[in-house]
Amino acid sequence: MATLTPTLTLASSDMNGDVLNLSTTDSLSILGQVTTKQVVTSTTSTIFATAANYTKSYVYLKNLSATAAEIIEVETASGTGKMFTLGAGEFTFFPWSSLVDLFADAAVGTPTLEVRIYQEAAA
Amino acid sequence: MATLTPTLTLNSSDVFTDQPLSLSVTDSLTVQAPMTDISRMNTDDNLGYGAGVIIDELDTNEYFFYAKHTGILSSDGTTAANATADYVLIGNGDADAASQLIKLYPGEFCFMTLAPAGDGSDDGDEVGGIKVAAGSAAVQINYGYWKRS
Repeated sequence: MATLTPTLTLASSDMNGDVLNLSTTDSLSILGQVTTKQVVTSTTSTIFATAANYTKSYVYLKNLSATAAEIIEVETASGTGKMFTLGAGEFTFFPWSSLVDLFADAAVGTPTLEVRIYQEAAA
Repeated sequence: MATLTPTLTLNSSDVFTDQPLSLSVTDSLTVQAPMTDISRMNTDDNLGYGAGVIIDELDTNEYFFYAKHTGILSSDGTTAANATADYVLIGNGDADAASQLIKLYPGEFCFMTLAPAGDGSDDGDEVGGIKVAAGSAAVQINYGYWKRS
């Protein structure tokens, strides 16, 4: 059994009249497949993770573009079901239910999306 | 306006036998109201838009969003949630099944950039917002959101 340790900190010194300094971590069992890839997206919505091929997993995504206009939308169906909007350099981390597919759709250009998927169960 | 600095690390010494995983990524995000500090709610609480709705489905703003399953039942605020039955599904403000791509078990968390509602209308397409739904008993979650500036 492998263990994945994600740690997230959220910090700000100038909001809400208070200091935001959150740090949270977890210890996740990874028994199944691990996918690490970079996907060249386009303005045509394209699937990059098929729900039927995974069980519950942990997903990390990052828009590797440095061009502000090259925003990547993450959708649950081709061209619709928009859920995330990743600007240049932005990332997301979430436990994926594997109930819905994941599609990438670029606003302009061909930004590269870094994809890491760690499946919890062996199958 | 304010600056939100998220940092994520992913570490593992045994996910691969011949290569440790040590990833660290950070960003500097400009944010403004509407926003929260870290907050807590029961998954069946009504914050003004319906039970479990944190951000209204018609909201056309774009938010950075954080949520964590505290592992505590909301019935008394002390009893541990069931490790498998008491999960939390997170989807858009309508809780459409096709949007519920996040599933939090006790102790798990997520951080994401929430897409805005497509047109601010409830036409069943491109709805925005965030709604949490308990898998079984209502549980407590911590959350925060910050509007992208």
